[in-house]
Amino acid sequence: MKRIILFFILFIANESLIFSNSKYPSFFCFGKFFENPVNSIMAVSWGLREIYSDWLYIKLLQYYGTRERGEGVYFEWGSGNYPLFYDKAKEIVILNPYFKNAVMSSAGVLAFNLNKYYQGISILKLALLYQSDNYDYMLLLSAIVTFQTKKNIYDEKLINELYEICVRKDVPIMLIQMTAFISKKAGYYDKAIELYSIILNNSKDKFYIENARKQIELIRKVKSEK
Amino acid sequence: MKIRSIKNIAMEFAKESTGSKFSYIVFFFVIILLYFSLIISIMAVQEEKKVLSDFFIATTHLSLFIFAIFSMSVGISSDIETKRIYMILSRPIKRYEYLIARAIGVYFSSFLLLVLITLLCVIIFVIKGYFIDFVYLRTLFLIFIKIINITSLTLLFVSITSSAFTSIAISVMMWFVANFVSELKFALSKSDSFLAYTKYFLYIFPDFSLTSTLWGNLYLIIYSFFIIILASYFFNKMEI
Repeated sequence: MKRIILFFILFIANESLIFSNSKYPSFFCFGKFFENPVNSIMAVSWGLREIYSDWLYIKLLQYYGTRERGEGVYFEWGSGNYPLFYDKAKEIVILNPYFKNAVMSSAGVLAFNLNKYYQGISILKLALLYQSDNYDYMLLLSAIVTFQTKKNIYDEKLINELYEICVRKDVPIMLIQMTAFISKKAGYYDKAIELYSIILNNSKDKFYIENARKQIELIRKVKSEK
Repeated sequence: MKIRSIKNIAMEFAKESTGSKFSYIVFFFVIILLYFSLIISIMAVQEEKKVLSDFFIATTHLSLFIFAIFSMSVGISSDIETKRIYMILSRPIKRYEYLIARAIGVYFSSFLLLVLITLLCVIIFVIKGYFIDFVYLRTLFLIFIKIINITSLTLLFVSITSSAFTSIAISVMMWFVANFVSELKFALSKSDSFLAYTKYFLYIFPDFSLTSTLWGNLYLIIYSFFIIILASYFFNKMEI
């Protein structure tokens, strides 16, 4: 029996060497806790993480579906401040970063409807930590960055991150196209030329190829004038 | 070890637990929860399928957990209380064979319940115009591994305490810890104080977050196997 117990202890000790942490983010890695920490802990302790995140998503939809009203305040449907939206969305993404629709819709609402770009980006980047190959998230991220460029807001770090993604293999051409456009607008001409060259080499779509060729010429011209 | 007698006793126990009033009550609650899932899924708008499948998984998860720990602890303790265990052990059956048969019986009846609940869920899916995917079936398999693990732990606790109530209470606590242990490990790994050393204590508990990997599942199965050996040891020592 002693041998069995010893073997069991060694087997348990082995766990620490073999296994990494859970596929889900830890509650503790974000510094502060949620709105309803007890509910979240209970849900995870019962093994009901996914259904609880679904339930929170439904509540988020209800929150956003309720028109904001107040003294002297009147918003049209879809617009408003929704001050709790980000916290609620973040709680869902921490609980289940693989919940694609929740990530996409909450990031989209924050960035395009509520004009809280950085909060939208934060939601997307949190989800991308756990699904780094999800091109839908990347496309939305580049769409948000493109939206910002219209207002002449350029985030160098984000553009660099998008560039790093685009030089990988098998990236959708649309994402490269958007990143190239953002890089050109932000004045990173070398990066833009490199990305348009990737489109030239990899795309089979005539529109993308012609546009890339045109843009490369244009950027070279601008560079030479400078 | 007599495999044949273990199989016969296990089948008898499985029949007993699936035919018990408790299993009917669990099944009745499953039906109520499935009905409830139909209402909730409508509120999720585009995500109806996801909410439905998550709700089905949660229902399966909880009902199997409750069914398994109750069947295991109440089964053994009632055998002891009603002196039925003397009848079984008076035959050429060793104590550990009885225990293994009990475990296999509960695993088997839990599996039957799992199949039955899944069939109901498939019917609802089809009515709603959806189909079950591979991920759903995989999740059910992972749930079953968790159930095997927690049932083995219940077996250990009932072998140590011989009380149904105590073993159920400890098993429920173990279930909480096993689901939450990865969070605790993470928190303790970030701690600088002496508390960080207590993380090694957590390796005694099963970690259900490991079910996402193949090795993690294998680990939980081997863990359950060891627990059954430990339970046999304590059951042999127990004064009945």
